[in-house]
Amino acid sequence: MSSSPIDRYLDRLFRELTLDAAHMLRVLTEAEDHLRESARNLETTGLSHEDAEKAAVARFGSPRTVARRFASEHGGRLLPESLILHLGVTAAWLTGIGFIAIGLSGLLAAVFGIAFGKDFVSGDAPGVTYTAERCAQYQSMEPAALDCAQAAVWHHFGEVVGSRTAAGVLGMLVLCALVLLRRRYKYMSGVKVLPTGFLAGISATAFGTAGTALLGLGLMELARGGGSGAGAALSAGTVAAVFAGIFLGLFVQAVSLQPQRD
Amino acid sequence: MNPEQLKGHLDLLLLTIISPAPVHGYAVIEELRNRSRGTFGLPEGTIYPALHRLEAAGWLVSRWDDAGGRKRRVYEITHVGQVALVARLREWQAFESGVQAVLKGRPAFAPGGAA
Repeated sequence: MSSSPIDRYLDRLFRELTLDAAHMLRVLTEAEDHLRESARNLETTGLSHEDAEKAAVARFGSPRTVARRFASEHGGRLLPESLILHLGVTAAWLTGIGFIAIGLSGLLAAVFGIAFGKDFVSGDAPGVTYTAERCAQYQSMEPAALDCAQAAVWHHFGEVVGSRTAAGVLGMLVLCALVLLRRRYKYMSGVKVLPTGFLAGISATAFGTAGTALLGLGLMELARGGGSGAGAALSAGTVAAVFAGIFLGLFVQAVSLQPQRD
Repeated sequence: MNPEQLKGHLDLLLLTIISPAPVHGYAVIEELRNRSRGTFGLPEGTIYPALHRLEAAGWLVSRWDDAGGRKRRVYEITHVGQVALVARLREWQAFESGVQAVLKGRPAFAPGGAA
């Protein structure tokens, strides 16, 4: 079965292109649409179907030239604005996700407080004392507390849960703003600039590092202080570890879906 | 005309053509050829990588459209693209006036400089 000039051209272009699968499909679909439209228009000038296809292919440029231009446009000639935009948006996503993680750690700290007592989350290390003036401040803020130590624990517990929850709300607002901005300005809609799994990889690394450090700190406090105050670090470390696991999974999935290139 | 000469100005030309209304790739290239009266002589296929680059920059956005049973990619300028178009247009106008001034044998107007 013989193929037309356009079919043969598309076969050659497919062999020359060095793009990922999704982008390759898009390029070939666009090229085919262009070539068939061009050939149809050329036929109206009196050319035969075969000659019109040949002329359309000639106008399009050699497959090697087109493939090289795609390779250079996506390799070395990336607009600095493009890279800055994508890195900025990625940083904003990471910031929003980070704040949401902090918010979730606040909720977990609240659960720890209910389950194990507020002292587990915001208790002071052994030996910590407050001045009379500071004690008076804590007790004025926590009038139901029985003594200075309990007032300090309650106050710090409220700070831990409140400030983290506020960060979570801020994170939600950041993500909502990003979604709205993407709809409004249609950023990052089609062509990929940053490597596959970039955000997931960066997030997994950041959360993994934070999770390891915070869990380590929490366990040290648990061993040293009999649990007093360990819950603050343990709640943050647990959430960070869970986020690290999720992003690691997404990163592995993204990388494993990447087609192998020769 | 040597296609290399066009490289620095291709973004301006493509953004200008796409700016008024969403348009598909073939129409962009036809318009480029018609308006330039075939001056540039670029292989048509080499325009698509530039369109994809502009999309990656956030200056264009594209979507699939159905054209008589065939899928067709339609390009549309973004707000950022409009801003970039204005900037590129100013650059071109400054460049053109400088070149014209030199070609006419009189000194170019230098903003802020001595007359």
